[in-house]
Order: sequence, then C-alpha cells, then structure tokens
Amino acid sequence: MLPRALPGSASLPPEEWLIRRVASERDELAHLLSSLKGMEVEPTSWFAPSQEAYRQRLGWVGEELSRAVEKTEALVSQLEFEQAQWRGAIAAGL
Amino acid sequence: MTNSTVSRSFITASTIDLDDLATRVQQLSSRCHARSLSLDGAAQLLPQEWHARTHAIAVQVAQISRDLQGVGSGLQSTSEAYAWRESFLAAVTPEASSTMFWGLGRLFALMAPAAIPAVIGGVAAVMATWTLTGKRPEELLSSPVFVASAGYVVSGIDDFGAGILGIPRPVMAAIGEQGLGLSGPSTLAAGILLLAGAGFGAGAGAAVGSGVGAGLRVRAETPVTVSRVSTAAAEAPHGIEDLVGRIPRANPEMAQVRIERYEGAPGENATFIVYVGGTIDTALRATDEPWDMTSNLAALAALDAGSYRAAVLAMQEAGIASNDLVTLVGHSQGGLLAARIAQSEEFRVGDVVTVGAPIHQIEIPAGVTVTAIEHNEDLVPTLGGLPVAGTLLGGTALVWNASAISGATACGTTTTVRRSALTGMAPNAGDALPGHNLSRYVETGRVMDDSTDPQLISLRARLETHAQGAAEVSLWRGERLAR
Repeated sequence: MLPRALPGSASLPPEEWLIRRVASERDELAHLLSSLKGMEVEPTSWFAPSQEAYRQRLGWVGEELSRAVEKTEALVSQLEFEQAQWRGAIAAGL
Repeated sequence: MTNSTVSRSFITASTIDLDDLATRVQQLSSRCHARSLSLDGAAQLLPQEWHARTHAIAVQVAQISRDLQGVGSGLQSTSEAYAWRESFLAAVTPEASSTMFWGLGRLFALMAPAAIPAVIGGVAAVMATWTLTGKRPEELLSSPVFVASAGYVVSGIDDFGAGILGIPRPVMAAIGEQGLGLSGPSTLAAGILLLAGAGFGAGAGAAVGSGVGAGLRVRAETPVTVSRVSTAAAEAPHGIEDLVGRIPRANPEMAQVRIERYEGAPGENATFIVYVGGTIDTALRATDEPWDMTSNLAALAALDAGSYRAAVLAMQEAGIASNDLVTLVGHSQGGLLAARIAQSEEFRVGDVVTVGAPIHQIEIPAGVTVTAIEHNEDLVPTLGGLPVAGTLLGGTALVWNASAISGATACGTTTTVRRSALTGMAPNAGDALPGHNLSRYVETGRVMDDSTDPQLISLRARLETHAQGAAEVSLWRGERLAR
C-alpha cells in the first residue's frame, strides 16, 4: 500500500498515465509551435503595409506559445521527478 | 489610350497566399482551442496541488487560440481589402494615367527645349540611384514597382504622343480603343512592326535567307507548316500545377504545341486541352521559328501571327471540330495566342488559362472563362497594357467574395491571379526575367491548388469535369516557310 504522503511533498503520487497525458499535451503544443513557426506573412503588395502588423502579432503569439510549451515541459519534469521520489520512497520501505 | 469600356468583368484574386495563410492560422487557432480544453481536462484529473498550475497553462493556450483567431480574421480582412483596393485602382487609374500622360505630352511639346534635358537627366538619375544601391539591371526589371509602371507607360504612350501632337483629349477618346479602336497597345505593336519592317526588311533578306530560303524578311510574316512530332498516352492533369507544368518549354527545334484528346461519354464529342508554349526565338531577325518576336508583335497587334496560324493548324490537324469543347493553356506568347484563339470563336473554348501573358486588353467572348496567372515581378503581362477593370465602376452587379471582387456580365469572365514569386530572393545573374520563368508559374499553380478561393475551386472542378480518364497526347511543331 502506498503511503498517503511524503514528507514535504504531494499527498498522492502522480499516476503514470496522467504524466503521459500531460507529456502528450506538451508534444502537441510543441507541434503547434512548429506549425506556427512555418507561417510567414509575406508582403503581397507594396501598398499593403498592414501585413507587417500581422507578422509581428504572429511573432508575439509564437513567443507566448513557446512559453506555454516550456511551462508544460517543466510540469512534466516535475511530475516525473515527483513520481521518482515516490518510487524511491516505496523502494526504501517508507 | 487606355481602355475603360471593354464589356467584360475583371476579377482579382491576387491574395491566394494571404488567404491560404489566414486559413492555416484559423485552423491552428482551432487546434490550440482543442488543446486548451484537453489540458483543462488533464488538470481536473491531476492531484490538487498540480491542478492550478495545469489550469493556468490551459488558460494561456486558450488565450493563444483567441489571439490566433484574431490574426486569422485580420489576415482575411487584409486580403479582402487588398483585393478591393487592387480592383478599385485597376478601375480608376487607367483613365487618370491616360490623362496624365496626355498632359505630360502637352507639357513636353510646349517646353521641348527644357523637357528633353529634364527627361534625360531624370532617367540618368534613376539609373544612377539604382546602380549606387548595388542592384543589378535584372533586379530593376523584376521590381514590382517597375513592372506596374511599365503597364502605365505601355497604356499611356499613345496619350503622350497625342499630347505632343496636340490632339485634344475628346478626339483621342473618340479614336482610341473605347471609340474607333485606333490606338492602344495593339496599335503600338502594329506600329513597331511597321517601323521595324521598313527599317530592317529591305536589307535583311539575304542574311536571313541562308537559314530558310531567300526572300524571308525581318518582321515580315510568312506561311507556316505544322507536323506531328510524337504521340503518347497520359492521364488527365491533376490540378493547376500539373496543367501549367504540361505547357511545352520554349526550346529551339522542339514542339511548341501539345494537344490532349479525351474521349467523351458515348454519344458525346471528345474534349481537348491545348497547351501552347512561349517565345522561343527572341532575336530581332526572323528565322524558321514561328514562336518569335515577329509573331509576338503580330499577335499583340491582332494581326496574322505565324505562331497563331501554326497553333490553329495543329488544332485542326489534331481533329478538333468547331463544336468540341477546348481548354486552352499557354505561357507568355502561348497565352496570348490562347486568348486570340478564344477571341476568334473559331473553336468552342470553355476555359483559357494563361501564365505570364500580355492579354490585359483582349476582349473575351461570352461563355469563355479566362484565368490569367501573373507574377508581380513579371514584366511580360504588362506589355499588353493595364488590366481592364471593366465593370467595377460600371454599375453592373458586384459580388463580394472571400477574397475577390467579381462583376457578372454577359461576356467572358477574367480571373486574374497575382502572386509575388520572388519575395526574399535575388534573381540569378543573367536571368533577365526570373519572374517570367515557367517553372515559377508551376509553383504558383501548386499554391492555387491549395487555395480555398471559390473561383479557383470552380476552375479545378471544371478542369476535372472537362478532362477525365486517359488522354491521347500529340506534340506539334510549327515552322515558317519561305514566302
């Protein structure tokens, strides 16, 4: 039987399938980021200056999505670390 | 004289890249929204201490989805506004530039002693600025601004001449293409032919005669003959990229015309796709090659071009009857010939697809749909003058589409697809007209195949219906005969 909590840690260990699901979300977001980076607003005319504004906005959205990918990646790492801690504790017979 | 009364519609679908991007951004927005919901679902399942953090990421991704939706809608609006603006300019500027060129002509005549040095100085200043900025001549020829300006110059040069001669504007309007049709790019081309014939024809016979027989003169049209070079079988083209890619390359001694015959349903006529290649011989002297500069000028002038007669002969010898449905496809001079063949009404033409062809002022008969594909960096289409906006301001029905303004009339319809093919690229040294290359138009065909523009969807559907199954392919080569 699993202990209810590790000292100074979460009350329950993150389950494997949930970690895999969050990791899958990270991969999906990274894929979306890759798709976004492949999109470029090219000027179709010398009298269509507004396209420059959309190019910048897409750049900002890309940065934001990149941050979301990093946060999800950090979340996956911490979930995996937490699970490893629990496994260690179980192995140590705590 | 610019033409503003041709009774045909002009549709601009110049923003297919932008439309395509807008669609992809909106699809990405939907996918981000789905991820946001999925992340929130995962947050609910995670232990309490992880919940808030995961939910925050889901909220952030939802915001990204909304941002992308905004960018996608904005790009779509930009595309629509751009299409409208281009159609508006196409409608308004011909008359304005016509008046301006006439005014410049008057000014030039009145101030000739001062104007000549001013013009020479102005041209020298432009060339010097261009050279000092380290750009090569081919970059100038491929500059979209230069290309657009060339259209105005070609359309306005007769007005300039009229201004110099003091011909009043109303008289010019009466004798111009909107009146008696005595001026315009066609007349200009005829004038060049006449002058070139007078200037070079007399002494050129002997020099050129060594190639194809004595008596052939520079700028003089000749009889032509055609022969079937080869036959083969092929599948129907898969989309516009494939269609454009089948146009014969401009190579000396090679076929200039490709004809595909599709067996119709039992009891129905066969259908045909005729592909016509571009100019092969760009030299000033005429040889045995009908796809030459003489034919270019003659076809522009609506005169009896050798290449036109060769293409029609090939069609007749391939067995195309006057009631067989034909799709014409052509690059450069081939596009010009395709438009002229459609104009002649000698064949039952349904669609004309041209790439880089100077056909702006050719009147298309009712029932024919022209899709003119042009690159912003291609000088050749502007040699046919300015595009005619026709009905935009003419009071006929206007239909607002996703990316295009269209006018419905009882006459043929022209869809102009314009695209920047050289964005971010420096032309290769020695490639004088990189935007005119057929291979770049094949790339544009691929972009058109991916487009969700209703008019391009409709074109693809028509092509699919028109050409089904296996085709019997024949390649034809035309040659000039000594007169």
